[in-house]
Amino acid sequence: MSDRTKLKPALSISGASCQGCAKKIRAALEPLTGSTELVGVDIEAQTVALPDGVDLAEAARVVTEAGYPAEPAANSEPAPCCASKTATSHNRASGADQGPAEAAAEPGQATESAKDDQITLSVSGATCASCVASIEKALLSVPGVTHAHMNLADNTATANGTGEPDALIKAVESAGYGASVIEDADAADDRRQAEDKKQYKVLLVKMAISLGLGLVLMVWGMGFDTMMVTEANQLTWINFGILTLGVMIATGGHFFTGAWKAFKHHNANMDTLIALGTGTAWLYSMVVSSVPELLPEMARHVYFEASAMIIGLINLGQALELRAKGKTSEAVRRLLDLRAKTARVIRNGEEQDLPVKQVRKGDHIRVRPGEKLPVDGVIIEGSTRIDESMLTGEPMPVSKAEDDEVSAGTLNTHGSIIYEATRVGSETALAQIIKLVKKAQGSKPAIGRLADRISSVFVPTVMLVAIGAALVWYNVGPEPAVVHMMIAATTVLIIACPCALGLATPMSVMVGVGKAAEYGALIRQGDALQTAGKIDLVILDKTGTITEGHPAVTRITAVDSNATLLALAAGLERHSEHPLAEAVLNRAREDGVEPETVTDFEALNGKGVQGQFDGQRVRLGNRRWLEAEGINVTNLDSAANTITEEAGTPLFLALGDQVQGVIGVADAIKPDSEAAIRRLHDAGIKVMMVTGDVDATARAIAVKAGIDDYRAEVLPENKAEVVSEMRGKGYTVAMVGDGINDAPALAAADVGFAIGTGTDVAIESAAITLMRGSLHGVPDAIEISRATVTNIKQNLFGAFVYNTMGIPVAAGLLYPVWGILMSPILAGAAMSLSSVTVVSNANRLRLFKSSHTPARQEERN
Amino acid sequence: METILVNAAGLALMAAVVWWFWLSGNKSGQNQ
Repeated sequence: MSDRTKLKPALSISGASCQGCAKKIRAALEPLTGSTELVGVDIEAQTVALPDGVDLAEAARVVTEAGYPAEPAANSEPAPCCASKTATSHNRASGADQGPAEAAAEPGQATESAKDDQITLSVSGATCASCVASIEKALLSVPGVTHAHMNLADNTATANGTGEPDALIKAVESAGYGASVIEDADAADDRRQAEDKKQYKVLLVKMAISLGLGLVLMVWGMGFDTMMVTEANQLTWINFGILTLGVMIATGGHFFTGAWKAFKHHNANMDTLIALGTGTAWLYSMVVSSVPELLPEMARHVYFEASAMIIGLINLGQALELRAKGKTSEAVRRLLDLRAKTARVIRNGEEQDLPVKQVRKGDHIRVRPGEKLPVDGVIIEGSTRIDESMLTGEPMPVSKAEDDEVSAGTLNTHGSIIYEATRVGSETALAQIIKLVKKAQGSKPAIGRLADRISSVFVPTVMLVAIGAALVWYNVGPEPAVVHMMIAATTVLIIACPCALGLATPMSVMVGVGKAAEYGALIRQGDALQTAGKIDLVILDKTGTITEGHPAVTRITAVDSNATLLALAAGLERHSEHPLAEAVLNRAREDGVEPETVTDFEALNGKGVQGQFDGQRVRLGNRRWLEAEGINVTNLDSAANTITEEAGTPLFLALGDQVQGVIGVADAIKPDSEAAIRRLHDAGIKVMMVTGDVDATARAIAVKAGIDDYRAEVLPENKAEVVSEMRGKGYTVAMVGDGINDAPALAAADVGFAIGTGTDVAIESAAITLMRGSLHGVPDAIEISRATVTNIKQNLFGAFVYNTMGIPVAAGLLYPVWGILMSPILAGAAMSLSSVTVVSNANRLRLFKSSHTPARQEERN
Repeated sequence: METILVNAAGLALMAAVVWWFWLSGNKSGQNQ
């Protein structure tokens, strides 16, 4: 076991949300502990584990200084629950120590601990970035809450810590929003979809009523009467004013109640601006209609139609936004749809169809061709081909036989199988993937946090600008000054609504993370999504990453026939347990070659194997041994050299004293590694390899795969040093490797990519897990990251720059030069349009296609 | 007189916004 597993949670921290934070905390504590390896940071639990003897007060101080408020844990001698939780996370970090049984049990434990720490709420009524800030602030005010996060894109909020659910709901409600605890995520999803549909219709009706009234007023005022209040039409306008108030309450009442609730909590949000803008226009018009003598004749203009139309347009914008929002969570819905509803379980010799929730570990399940697998398990009878593309992005169905693992959600395409359930319910790979994707979709990259910080001070600032603009108009504006100041203030308030700003980042992250999952790349954090786009150096582990990870026959050169050579070699190797023997036997099986019967088998350590065939001695081994036995192998020199140059091992076969041929065995480069590396080069990224192999083998692989640079004879524990060294040189480094052995190197990189096999989704050390073995996942993820970040930037530009540019125009800056003063109605329409533009632009990401699209993916798209 | 009143009201409103959303609002924002 590594040192970290012996540690106890000593500090409770807040604000650490990613591997980068964990790294910073470890680095900050290094002077106290002597090594970063001795510091365990548990992001989920927001705790830091330290070795005995460290001054906790001093440790808390340095961590706080590093930007993560910390204090010694209430009980640094951990309670049993905490002890097991910390041990779980540390086992993950030092996964090399754990056996398969522990690894298999881990997802369940992770789910349990997550339940203790995190409460997810479904939140209603949140519409903008300021709402996000208000809700997060309200949740953080609940005692025991260490970290709160609101996701506007799917209207959920999560609170970490020990806060009571009732207190959390109360806090959100008192901030002006509705909240309920999500206990069953599926039911909550269904409920939200149903609510969204209902809400969409309600908004359309409200839009029709308010826009309708606005149009009537406009037509009346301009066509049949005048917008100026006179003695003749005063009563009519008062009546219209009362009618407008009724419609404003009926169709825009939620803006006013939302604004009031936020105001009571010293917050200001989008509702505040809408309520103030439309309220000001209505109040002014009502004063004009009721007591026109208070104002000069030129200023007796009514703006009832503006109030009604602004509310109508914003309702329309919100309706369109709601519909577009639904599409962004498509990736998760597609994953949810993969789940089978029932399973054909064999209990007591009888087959019965049971709801998948009733399947227990150890149950035997029959799956026929064309059916989906309900849970994870191991095949105990039959063989088949399974389409795992929906889970891993791997386009071709994979052959599976007895003892092979299968995953829930995959499709049995060929034979009938019986398999034993090993992971059910929330433990299945599919459930873990869904959980991970949802979590990542809700996380915010740094760029999004910046937008949130800006928008939380944005609304009060806009209010100041509106009052300031009104005063300027009053003091130096042309007559009617009162009208101008009212228009300027109203228009500034309306156009500045930061609703698009709040959607800009989460919308794109949701689509980007979902898209990456479609390509078989599980992104753990929004930060990784942002950083992946900046990568300019990719460091690849060799074994299992660039290569297949197990030896295979790469070349056969026979003096007579290849089949005879292979049959003899397989006949010999059938008796051997050496890894090279397995490679030869696999090749024979693939080529349909029946091994010859070889007797008197003998394995000679460091030389090869030998036996008797047809009355003659048959030997398979290295050149030195055969030559020592007096066998001439020089006629196969060129073939043997080629094998060596390709980083393979030549095995010579001799029958009697005649050499029959040479078989090259090597850890072959995966068929698509070279193409994936070429894609990285095309994207302007340098590629480097680190391996424990000797220099000659490393060079051969590097040349063949087209790698720019390599480091040979690097021990696994030293890979992290290479990563740090390259980061020190100014590269943004991605490390791609095996999630278990390369864990330290993955954690040391800016972005760690763990190459999984489809079910290893619990790889915590990597920011991104590639579910299929192909290296193409790396350029895919980088391309998606770049597309997402570009999309976020476009959205922020569309939302924020639009707002800031709109404000001076609304305040009347163009008036002195061109005499242009924006109408509040136009501001309302433009504001709604900006939300719709942002959401539509984020949806554009759904059309993303990687530069390498497997055939199956194309079909699905 | 009217000009002074309107300007004073505007400035008072601006001061109220600053006080309400930043200065007094900080009390509830301390726990962030």
